[in-house]
Amino acid sequence: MSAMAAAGERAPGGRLVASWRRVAGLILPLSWRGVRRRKAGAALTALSLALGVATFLLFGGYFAATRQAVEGRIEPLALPADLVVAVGVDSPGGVPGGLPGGGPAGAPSIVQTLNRLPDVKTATGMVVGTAYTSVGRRRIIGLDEKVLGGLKLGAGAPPMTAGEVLLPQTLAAAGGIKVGSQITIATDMGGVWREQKFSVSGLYQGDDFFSGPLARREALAPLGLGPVDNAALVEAYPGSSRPGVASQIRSLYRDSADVLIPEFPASLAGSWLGQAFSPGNVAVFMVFTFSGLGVMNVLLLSFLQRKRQMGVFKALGMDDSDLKQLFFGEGLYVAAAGAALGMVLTAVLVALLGRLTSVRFIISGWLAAWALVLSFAVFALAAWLPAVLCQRASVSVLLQNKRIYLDPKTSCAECGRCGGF
Amino acid sequence: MSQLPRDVPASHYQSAAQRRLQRTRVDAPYRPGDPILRGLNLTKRFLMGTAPVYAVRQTTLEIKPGEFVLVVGPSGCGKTTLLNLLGGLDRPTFGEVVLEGQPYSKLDENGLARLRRNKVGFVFQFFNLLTDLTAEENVMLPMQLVGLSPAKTRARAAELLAAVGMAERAAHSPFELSGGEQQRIAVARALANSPTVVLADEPTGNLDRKSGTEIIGLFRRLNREFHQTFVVVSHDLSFTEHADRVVHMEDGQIVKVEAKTA
Ligand SMILES: Nc1ncnc2c1ncn2[C@@H]1O[C@H](COP(=O)(O)OP(=O)(O)OP(=O)(O)O)[C@@H](O)[C@H]1O
Ligand SMILES: [Mg+2]
Repeated sequence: MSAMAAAGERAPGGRLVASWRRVAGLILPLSWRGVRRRKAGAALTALSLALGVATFLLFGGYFAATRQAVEGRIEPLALPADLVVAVGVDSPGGVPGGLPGGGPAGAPSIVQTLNRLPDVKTATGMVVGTAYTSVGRRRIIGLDEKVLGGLKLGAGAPPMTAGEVLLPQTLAAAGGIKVGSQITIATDMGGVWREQKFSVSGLYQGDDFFSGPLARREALAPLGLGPVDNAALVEAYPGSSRPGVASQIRSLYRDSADVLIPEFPASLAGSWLGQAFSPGNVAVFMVFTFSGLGVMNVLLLSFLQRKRQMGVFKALGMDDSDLKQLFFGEGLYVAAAGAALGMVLTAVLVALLGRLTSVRFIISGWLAAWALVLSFAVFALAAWLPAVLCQRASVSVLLQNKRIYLDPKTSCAECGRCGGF
Repeated sequence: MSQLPRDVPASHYQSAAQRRLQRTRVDAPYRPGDPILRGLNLTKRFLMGTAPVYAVRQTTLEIKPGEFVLVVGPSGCGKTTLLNLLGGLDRPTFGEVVLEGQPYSKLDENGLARLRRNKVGFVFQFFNLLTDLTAEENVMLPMQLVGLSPAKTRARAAELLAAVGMAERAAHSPFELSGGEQQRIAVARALANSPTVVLADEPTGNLDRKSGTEIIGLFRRLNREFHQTFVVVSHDLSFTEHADRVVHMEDGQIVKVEAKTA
């Protein structure tokens, strides 16, 4: 048999070309066969990833849209403020469809937007100021006379004394409050409730960004929030300790005479950590972790069912990198399918929600790119364990479909208490 | 061969085995006519819980080029283990395997994988065809793994399938083939890269008598026509007439070797 001598001859081309040809021409098709063989399982895995991707995109898109809506409302206000303070874990200020209790998106960008306004000298974040009024949870905002005067009144007059507030018409209507009504405003001051009685001097129009009671800035003095020149309260993040924040601010604003508010999380507003642990991000992270663990489990099980096949691959001379590529290839196909399916699902949901509700989403290319990166990361991670197990197990153990251990050489396999894989 | 107790301390065992090994030159350059495959003082210890089991004990077996060796013995005597050690599917606890002058202990896992890919063909009791692939693709895989060009791979696969009488079943999935047919495909696959040696573990164990005899006949024909070296493990003593040498194993050791004088 003359061709026998030909076996073992190398295909022409450089090393890189050769290894690429091996991956594209041999290993990936084998991965594809493996995926196709387990169509139903692979489809379910892709679907679970698709749900993760859709959740990620919907959350991200919702936050992007919320941010845009909030920012869009700041410009028309054109606050001539010296200091703008971002505060609180309130509902996203007046955003239609806002999640109750959910933090607002992108306070740093709100602060930035505020800073760009011509008359604003300083805009920053703050933690205090969440107020519970007798009609619902809102923040009370202390404003300068000329800002109060500039509001479009629906009824009554701007507050003339410290004991008066302006309410938004919508809030008043919801609480059955009229001009002249007495309301109580309680403010959480670091765990201590401070209550103050106000009489409603008037109602202002528009479902504006503050959507809360507006008082004269002097009115906030008893709450420990003022007086501050032209203070406006915007949104910020949960999870900061006020004493810590306060000391940070004191050191940051040591020389500033204008800033009288002690709690002032300038660092928090821009902090990566503060952003990363917003409730939305935590939810998205958990969804991804769950779908990632599910995917990992499925890939691991599908490998454990095919130990004998892997043994044959190894017996025929597949080396570590071949096996790794084989598993990563399988992951790649399912990840690609899952990501694509997730995007389609997202598009459908966005269209459906847009039609049925007033919720809007902005899904940018970056967001989609992140979803892709995360999907592939999940699968790379999920392929890693089977690949390592397969590499470390001896061929005979795989061929005999025996239990395999992460460390087959030493005490791990001998102990065997964990049961192996 | 000295009879070793079943449970001697590892340290004692190791030093004895190593002393013997030192007297054998394992890295001498390979010269044509030398044994191509040498298993030297092979010992394989498994642990069943904490109790050691010596599946193969200080066993030496040398295979000459073009030889047809049959390994027989009762169930559990260590035939499969010995074959796995010879084929580089498992590492010996002590001892050395040398294939064409290449000691396995000098190779890492990837090196051993390459050696199996290029120089060893395997035939298993349960055929172990890859069920995701067709018969032809199964035969092509080893050649693809060594990077043979697609045209040559295809041509040689056709040649091999014809040699085992399976040319018509090339496009079939293993599921569509009988046991005997699957084993023929497995034989073709084992021969794909013109291995130095073909190791077959109970190749007829899952076949009826007729198919089994055919497979052994096929081995014998390939052995005669192409000087293909075979080491075949079997329960079936009726195959001994085909072999150049019959190795009898018992309790992890070789107890008798019958050589046929040609
Ligand atoms: N992975 C393993 N772990 C523990 N013990 C093992 C392992 N593999 C083999 N053994 C033991 O080693 C001994 C020899 O096994 P081996 O499979 O080599 O025998 P065999 O001669 O091939 O038997 P059979 O004819 O039944 O195939 C047996 O006692 C077996 O239980
Ligand atoms: Mg056996």
